[in-house]
Amino acid sequence: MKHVFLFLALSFLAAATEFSRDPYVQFATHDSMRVVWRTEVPMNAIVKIGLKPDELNQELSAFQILTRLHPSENGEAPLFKDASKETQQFEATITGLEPRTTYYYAIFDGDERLTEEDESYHFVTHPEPGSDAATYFWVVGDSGTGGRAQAQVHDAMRSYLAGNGRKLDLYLHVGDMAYGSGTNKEFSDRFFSMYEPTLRNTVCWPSMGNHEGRTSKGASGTGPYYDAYMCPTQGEAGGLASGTEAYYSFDYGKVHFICLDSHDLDRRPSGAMAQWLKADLEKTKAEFLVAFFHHPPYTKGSHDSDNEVQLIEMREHIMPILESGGVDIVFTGHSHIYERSMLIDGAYQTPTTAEGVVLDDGDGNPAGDGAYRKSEGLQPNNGVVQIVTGHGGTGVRRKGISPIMKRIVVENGSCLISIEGDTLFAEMISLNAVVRDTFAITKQGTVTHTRIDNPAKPDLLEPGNKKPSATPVPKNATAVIAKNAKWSYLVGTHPAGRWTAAGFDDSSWKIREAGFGYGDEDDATELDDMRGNYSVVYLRSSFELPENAKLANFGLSVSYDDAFIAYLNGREILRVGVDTKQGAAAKGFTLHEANGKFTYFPLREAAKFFNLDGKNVLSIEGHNANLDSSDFTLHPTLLLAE
Amino acid sequence: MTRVLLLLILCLPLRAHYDVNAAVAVLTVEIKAAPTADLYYRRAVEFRALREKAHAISDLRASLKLKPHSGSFAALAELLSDRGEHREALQLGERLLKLDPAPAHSFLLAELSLASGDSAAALRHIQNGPPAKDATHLLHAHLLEEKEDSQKAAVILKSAHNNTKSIVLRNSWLDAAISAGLVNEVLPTLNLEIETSRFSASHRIRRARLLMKEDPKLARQDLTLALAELAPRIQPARPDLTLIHDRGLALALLDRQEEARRDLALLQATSLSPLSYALLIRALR
Repeated sequence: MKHVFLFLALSFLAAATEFSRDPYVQFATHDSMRVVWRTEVPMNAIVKIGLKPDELNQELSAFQILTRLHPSENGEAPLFKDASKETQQFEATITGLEPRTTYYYAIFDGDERLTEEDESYHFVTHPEPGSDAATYFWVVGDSGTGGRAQAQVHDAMRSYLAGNGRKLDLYLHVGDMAYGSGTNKEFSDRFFSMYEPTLRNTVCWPSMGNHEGRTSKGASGTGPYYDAYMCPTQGEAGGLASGTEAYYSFDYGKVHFICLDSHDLDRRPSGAMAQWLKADLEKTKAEFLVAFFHHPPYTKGSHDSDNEVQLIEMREHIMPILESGGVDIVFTGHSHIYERSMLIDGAYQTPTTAEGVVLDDGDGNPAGDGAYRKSEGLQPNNGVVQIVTGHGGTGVRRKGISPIMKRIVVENGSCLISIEGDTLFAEMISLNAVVRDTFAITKQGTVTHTRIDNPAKPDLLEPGNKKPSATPVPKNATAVIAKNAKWSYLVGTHPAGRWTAAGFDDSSWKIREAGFGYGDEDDATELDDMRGNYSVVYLRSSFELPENAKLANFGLSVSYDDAFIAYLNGREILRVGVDTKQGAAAKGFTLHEANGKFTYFPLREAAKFFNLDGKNVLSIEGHNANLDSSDFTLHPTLLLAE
Repeated sequence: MTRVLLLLILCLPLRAHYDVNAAVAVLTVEIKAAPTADLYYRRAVEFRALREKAHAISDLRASLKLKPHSGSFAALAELLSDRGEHREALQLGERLLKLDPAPAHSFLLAELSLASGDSAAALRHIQNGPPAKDATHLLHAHLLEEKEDSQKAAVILKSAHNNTKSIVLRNSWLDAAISAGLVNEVLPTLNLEIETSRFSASHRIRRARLLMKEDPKLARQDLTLALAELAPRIQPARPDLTLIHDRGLALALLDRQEEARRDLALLQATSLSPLSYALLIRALR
């Protein structure tokens, strides 16, 4: 009897074929699709499809399913050597489909159904190339950690879609999808497992990142990246034949998508990739043009596009070709941040400058400054929006501010893009499913832009990680410079000389009560002329220390919007929300709302700059991140505690 | 212990981000402690990414001193060739081919030879190495065209295009076939491309090259239309160089030599391979 049980148990175990990489869809066209999956055991692979989930009445014959094996198994198109020897990758090519039609599918091992009876196992074919179909797609970069933030970003996208009732037509990944080296195992754990519910019914069109580039090579088209993805090489999905999966194009209705390999191929105009790009752009008759690749032409996130060769070459060599071909939007990653540009053209210089390359410095938001306007169709050099979306799951960071950017968000997230009729509408969704950026491009008639010499500065959002820590004000603190104290102040110009020094002559400055500002009804001195005219306010206040003052516990308590630098007797003692330099030259502002609150900054280390026997001067320069900001606040107090 | 702590601190940015400067810092600490060929090679790769070529060259030399490695040979040869130090670059290329006679290394040696101005040697190396890739076919064909053997170049390119369908191979075949005077083979394709392309300037220029003698009126008309189409696509301050080549070629064929030479000078001032504007040079001869 024991033996019977053992036999039954072993039979059950032997029969239970499991996916080692769950089914996902690839290589969509208007009349075909591929379904791909992996197991670690051989199986009698059968794919059934149908127009209803409970009527899967078309069966794929064995010759329509390619099985790929480890190189040691001598099979057709062997997998990369780091796959386990048992790995079997099945690729089912389904042809003869109707355009823009939903098909349900199931995978069987002989008679055993492996996929659950679940409607989410389906795919939708692309519309006829050139047709008027709308499209809605997701763009993610630098996500492949397998960690919490990556999962949150994915969940946020799905919950946002559930909220707006829309479905994805496709998914673009701009690279670094399987840290650290894009091995087969890393792909399974950090990409396919993480996005499985989306990948089973939505095609991910990939571009290779530098991390995948550690194991996969563009020149040979081999490695785990090339095992995982099936991309067009002969123009099968629209566009022209590239002869390689490293760079390719495809159409979705009237939208033409172009993927480039910015990592390990020749990026020069004389290289094969650039020559293909030129030919592809000459041929397309799409109405919108979307390009995506890994290395960003413009960034000051975790990478600097003025210093690194791949980024510089994509800007100097590839962007001129894309822009003369009429590109509308470019998605990249590599730099772990969200950076979105103004409408620009011709920004190929190194270092990047905003001078003469900005066509529209508004926010592009239909509910704000209005959508960016372009001529209908694909017109050369009519403006592009650059999006660095390398914030899909790994730690985010910012080194500085690229001058062509409009919106910078140092937070994990992803992008959702809709193209319908004459309008492209884009949203950046944070990992908490909050919309952090919105803009649109509308293409109507003929639009001629005038280049803007001195464009607006970017909006910068750095939630969480750059906020000053909330240190409580010491209980026994007394104010040396109290709330609503009188300060000398200078606005509308910049002070000459060492204005922060104790001996500086500020007799020509006005004297008024703090706080200074406008727009939020919390200011004693209203700066009615500040908005649109100046962004810096300079304050000075003289004081003497009380007798026997204990300086080890002193600090500033400040209500501020957006940023400031404080000096004590000419020495800088505190910098909040300003990255570099001072006064008119200050750069890199962090947005901050005062909301009527004071934040305490302990300054024990700066006590050595006090003059114990006489006059001290506290000087502060307050900065508005944007000249046109709706409000400004600067209300400092100086506190000493026992 | 100090080194371990320093490495841990330096590695922090690397865990969260791949930061090139941080990678250099980490590798520098590791090299100081226990230098290996691999560490020098990896730091050279980072220096190359930062365009610090002198540092990259120095590290590659150090790497090769410790252990001959094909990656270091190839990278050093390329960097030296870029700097115009062709003799040493070629020596390295030859040593590499001896160490590992892979097709990629024959290809590299061909490129190094070409960069040094020795087209004959480049052709020899390409012909010796098995032509496995599109890039090999393209270089081979260009070298044959330099020798004015366009007929053979066209055969190679057509066969390669039949294999991968790459449009770059197809267009290069068109160029070679035009040079070889294969009118009947090429004309239907050009007519179709002109009819169906959004931008047809490059194909109009090809058709003009083809029909310059047979139908000079149509050729001139094509060239005029091509120039009109190119004008709004060329950003005056910072142009797309692929379009500058097209414009230069159209101008040269219209015998507007001075303007064509200005475009050629623009191309020659860049780091582009002369092969990419060889047609323009030939048209100006």
